Amino acid sequence: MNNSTSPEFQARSGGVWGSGAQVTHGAGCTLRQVRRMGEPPLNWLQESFQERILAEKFQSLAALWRATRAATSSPKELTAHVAYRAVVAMGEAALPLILRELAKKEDWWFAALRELAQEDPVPSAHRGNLHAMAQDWLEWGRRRGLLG
Amino acid sequence: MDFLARNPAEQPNFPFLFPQNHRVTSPPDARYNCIAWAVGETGVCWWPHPDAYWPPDVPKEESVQAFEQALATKGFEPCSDGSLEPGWERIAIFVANGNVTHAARQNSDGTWTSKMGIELEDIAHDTFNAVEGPLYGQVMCFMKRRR
Repeated sequence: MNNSTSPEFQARSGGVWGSGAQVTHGAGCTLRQVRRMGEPPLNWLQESFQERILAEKFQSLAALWRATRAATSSPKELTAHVAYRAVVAMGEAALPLILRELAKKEDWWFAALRELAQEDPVPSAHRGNLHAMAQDWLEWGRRRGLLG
Repeated sequence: MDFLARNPAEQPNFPFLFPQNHRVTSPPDARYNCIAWAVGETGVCWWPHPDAYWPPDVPKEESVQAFEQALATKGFEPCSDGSLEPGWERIAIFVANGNVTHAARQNSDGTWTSKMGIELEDIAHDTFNAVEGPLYGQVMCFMKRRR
């Protein structure tokens, strides 16, 4: 019997919400779990999807920047790269993503952070010191609640 | 190990680098760049840029004059060529499109050493012009200081 409305089919397949497979949506919830929360949490789902899309976009741009930046010694050239500019064009939403990336791997994200934050927490004595500048920005991010 | 074998995307930028005329001498390191390496520093990046170290009172511009002033703060003075002179350490300054792009330092055996970019390896190259090309341009001038 191949009637999807039959009780037998629904019992086998997991009910009206689709198959019994653990298909996940949003932040790791199954669609069935989401439904059980009561009101359809559309805003929550949209925000979760938007965050995930932004994070994926940032990761792909960061990977492109790392893979294709030439052997330049100039921070100006390094940060003029099209993928780097695309990260800056993401706006303030990119700030926590850059900070999390900086916490994982120290790299020359400072120009982007400065542009997006419109601040510069790096003291002049730290200029050029990758580790010290990264720590200055991570501390700035923690103070503003942008890092866990 | 060949720099271009490790970084094949850089091949068009360095048409005069061959496996026979250079070798990689360090792992990749993003903490310093070619100017820092030229003056013997490995904990900081030198450049006339807000994110880099630049000596106080030196114009923040990518001109040869500004770089000569910056390198003079470390004891370098202009000289005429890249020949080997016992007791002296030389630097070659590279220019492309009117802007300084790179510096290489002469080793005591007459070979040269370059930090490739901000984040790649150091290499030793037989001649200073082995890293000339579309990215670094050409050697524009030399400086020297006592070893």
